[in-house]
Amino acid sequence: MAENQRQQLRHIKRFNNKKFKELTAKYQRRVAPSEYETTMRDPNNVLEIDNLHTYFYTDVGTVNAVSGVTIDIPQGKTVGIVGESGCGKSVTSLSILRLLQEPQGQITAGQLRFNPSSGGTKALDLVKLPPAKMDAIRGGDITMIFQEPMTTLNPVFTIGRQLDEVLKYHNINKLSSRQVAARSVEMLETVGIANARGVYKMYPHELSGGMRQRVVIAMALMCGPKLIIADEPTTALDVTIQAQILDLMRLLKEKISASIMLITHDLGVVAEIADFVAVMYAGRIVEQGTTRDIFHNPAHPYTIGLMKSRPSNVDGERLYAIPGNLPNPIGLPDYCFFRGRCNSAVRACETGAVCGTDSICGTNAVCGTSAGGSAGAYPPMFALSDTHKSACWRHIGEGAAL
Amino acid sequence: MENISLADALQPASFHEETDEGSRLFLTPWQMVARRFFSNRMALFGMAVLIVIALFSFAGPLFYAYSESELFYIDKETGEELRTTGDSARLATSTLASLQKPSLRHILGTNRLGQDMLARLMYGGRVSLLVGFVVVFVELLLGILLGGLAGYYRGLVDSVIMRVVDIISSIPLIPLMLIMSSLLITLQISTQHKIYVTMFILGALYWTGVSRMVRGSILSLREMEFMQAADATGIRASNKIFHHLIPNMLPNLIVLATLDLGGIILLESTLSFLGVGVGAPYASWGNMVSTVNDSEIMQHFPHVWVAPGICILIVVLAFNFVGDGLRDATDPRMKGR
Amino acid sequence: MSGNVLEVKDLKKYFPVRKGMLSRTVTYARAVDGVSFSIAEGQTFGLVGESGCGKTTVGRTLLRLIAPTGGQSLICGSDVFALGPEELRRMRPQMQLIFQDPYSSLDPRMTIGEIIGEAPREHGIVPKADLRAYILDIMKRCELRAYHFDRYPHEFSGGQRQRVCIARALALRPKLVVADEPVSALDVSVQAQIINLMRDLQQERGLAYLFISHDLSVVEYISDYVAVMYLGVIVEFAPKKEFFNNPAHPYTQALLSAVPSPNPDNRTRRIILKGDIPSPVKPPSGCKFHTRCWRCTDICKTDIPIYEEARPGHYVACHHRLAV
Repeated sequence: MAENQRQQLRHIKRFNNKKFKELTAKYQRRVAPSEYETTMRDPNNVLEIDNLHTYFYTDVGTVNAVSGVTIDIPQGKTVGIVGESGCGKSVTSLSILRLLQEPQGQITAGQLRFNPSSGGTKALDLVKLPPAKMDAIRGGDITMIFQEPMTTLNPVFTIGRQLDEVLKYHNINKLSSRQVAARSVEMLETVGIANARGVYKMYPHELSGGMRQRVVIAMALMCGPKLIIADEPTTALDVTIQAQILDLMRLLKEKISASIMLITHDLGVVAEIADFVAVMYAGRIVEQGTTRDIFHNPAHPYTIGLMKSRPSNVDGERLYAIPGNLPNPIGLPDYCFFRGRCNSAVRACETGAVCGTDSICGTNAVCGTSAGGSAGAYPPMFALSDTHKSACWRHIGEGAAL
Repeated sequence: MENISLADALQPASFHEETDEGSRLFLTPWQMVARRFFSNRMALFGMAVLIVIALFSFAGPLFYAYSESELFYIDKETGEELRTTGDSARLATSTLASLQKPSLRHILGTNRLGQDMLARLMYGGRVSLLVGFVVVFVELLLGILLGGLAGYYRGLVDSVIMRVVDIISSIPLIPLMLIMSSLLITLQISTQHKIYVTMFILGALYWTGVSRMVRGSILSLREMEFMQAADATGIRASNKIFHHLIPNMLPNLIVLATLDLGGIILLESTLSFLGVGVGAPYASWGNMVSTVNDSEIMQHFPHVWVAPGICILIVVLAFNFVGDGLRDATDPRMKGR
Repeated sequence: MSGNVLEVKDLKKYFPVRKGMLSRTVTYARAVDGVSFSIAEGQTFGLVGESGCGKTTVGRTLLRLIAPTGGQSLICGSDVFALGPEELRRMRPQMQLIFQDPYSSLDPRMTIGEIIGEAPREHGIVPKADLRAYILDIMKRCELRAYHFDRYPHEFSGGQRQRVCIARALALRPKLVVADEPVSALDVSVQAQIINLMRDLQQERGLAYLFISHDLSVVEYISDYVAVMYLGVIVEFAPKKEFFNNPAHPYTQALLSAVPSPNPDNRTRRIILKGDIPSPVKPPSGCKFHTRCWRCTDICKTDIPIYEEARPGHYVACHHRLAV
């Protein structure tokens, strides 16, 4: 290894150690309730993610997995997070559930305001919540459906035992064993398993992939959660089974009152069941809005590129492929890092113009950033309508920046 | 930092992709293992101990005047110390300098026969470490060969070899060594050759563990897609084994060998303690510890048996720390520090 | 040589199911149960199906990476199943395979240069002195940079690793490339890049592809002919346009409608098949699809439908094939 590489690695190591000490001290002392109890900005939201930053301090540098994600998840709605591998969508869901691999993975900034009761304004900041309280929320109020149904279920326990276990651990109503079992069977029926009592006694290896995913969905519903995070729930399944599961999720949406945060890379799945969509790229949200907004009027060049890359409806001509690769997640730059791959970049993406009266912004009201914000920096979110926002310098004249 | 108009700002521009991939830091798999290993304090401590002991045992005697089986005498009249090579006339009137407590002349004292303890400790270290390395070498040779054949060709070859492995692993070790020892005495093999024979026999018994591990590794590696790709691209069998299978098995093998080294040293000590391994006049930590059977020595002369015991403990612990450290470092799934 | 790069005739692969203490063969899982098709030079044949249908097994068996149970596989005129082991090994460069999982199909302890160069060196594709330049040239063609030569697989993304797999296959100058779900594990934008690359290479070098996938939209884009497999048999086969415009088999229709469309206004009623895919060990009697088919009648439960030509070039095996 070259000497300067060795030096770099040494620096990184020292920096990482410093960070670990700092952050562990910050988050693992005894936390007073006043620190993690705050108020919701809008009581109709079940979760407000506010400027979340999650970094991984690895041996080869700091990976900015999530840098500044802000999105609201309203009560009873389905929000789809779309993006490709490495964009940070899975890390976002792990951050919400505080399941990051410590000590490398750390939430370094931001708030995760969770509304434990529907309609109230009281909120809990999940970032600062002590582990004991987080355990109660995880699996009870916020549950997760993972991608691989083959490996999510424990092969040595029966399905019934695994379902019961969830409810018993969070047993707030002090139900008896028989009542718990009855609820498990009820959940299995809700997810469309015909032979619920029989499946209750089976082991995971006796079920097919589609059935297992249904069981995992049942597990997520057991405690009547407020928010269900579904991380690529249909990616590992066959097409016809995927259709079944999507159908099931659509039915469930009407039955239960929980919100769903659906993470996927498949635009078709999102179009099927999501109410709101956010598109992520390299750790930031580049566009968000209602499903209609995104699919009928995609604004960000990345979203447009994704839509055009799908091989359907293209006949014979060359498939449009977004050129280039994802940026290096270590040390992301402070300008729009999509511009090297963008086919509609403008001068504003590059110039270091200063916002002020005679400049691009016209008046400060448009840019919204503090005086001295530079146009070459990473674009802020521009509001194209009440619901539709996009982080792209092409929208300077169109909407107010947030 | 210039100011531009709104219309200008929306003029199309193009940027080529900036990538620093060429100068990005990257580590080879072995470098990653090394980094993980060297950040493990226990493992580093173990390595340090091993290096010190190795220097002590192999380089020490070069700087130390006494040898392992040299006898020392005390002149009855002058109280002076004499060596076996000294004036034979004076020797006749001297007594053995036996069981001398630690002093400036003999830093760790002498044993009942009048031999210097520190020298014996160094030479004993040589024997222990050598036995360890030779046995591990033999067991690796046999184990990789036979385990490899069993794993690669499977079928009848596999069954036969594995049954042999089962039979050999069922043989009780200590009774076998006692029998071998008596046999060697009957055949009047010299003490020096006895050590070599012991080493080869230990190797011939211990290869079974390695072969099981090698066979298991091969069976699981074969199914990996890159092996199927090697099949699909028409690589010869020998190249598949040497370029693909063995490099992927090396980490496990190294860990196993390191842990076995500690085990063999312990075993050799036990055997020498029982009188089966290394015998007089050669020093081995095991036979040095066996002097504890004499209750007078055990009670009143601890310097004779405590030091070699501690050495055995330290060396075996060190090998275990290093082995554990290697195992943690080479496991690709271990996250965290 | 009839001009076809690949001709498969009545290919069969049964896996024995062993039970009991002595591992006696109780029954067989009929993974591939009589499959026939051919591919001409420069063409792409798309093989579609879900898990358990046997498409991956078809790919591996016709290359003789798995021992076949029956049938014939003729690649460039040679009967692959009749070759001796050394002849087979020498013929391997002509018939290459691209794997589905870019993460496990590269040896983690070899550099990219070694991975790509290993086989050409073994088979003497180019003289030793020119090997490095040859590898760098192939890497460039597959959109890898020169400095990737000394890097290890763990540093690459899925898309780049798949490029390495393609480069490895390409370095042997094959005539036939069996691509087993090559883009399924990749993101959409990367998929597009890899598909473009594969198409360009096909046009440059006249490669024949057997493109195995479960993703109908990708298959529609890249194939000239399409066949659908279900439980070991081909149930429908047609040239691409005909296939997607006039699907005749109910399963094909269900597959086509199951693909979620990125159009939020188009959440139409789609055909949801009931039940799961049956196991290949105990396939249903008669038409294997009858347990999930909405057009099933008595004859479907007892009689195996004949695979016949419904329209010119369009073959279907169904008692109630949808009116065309």
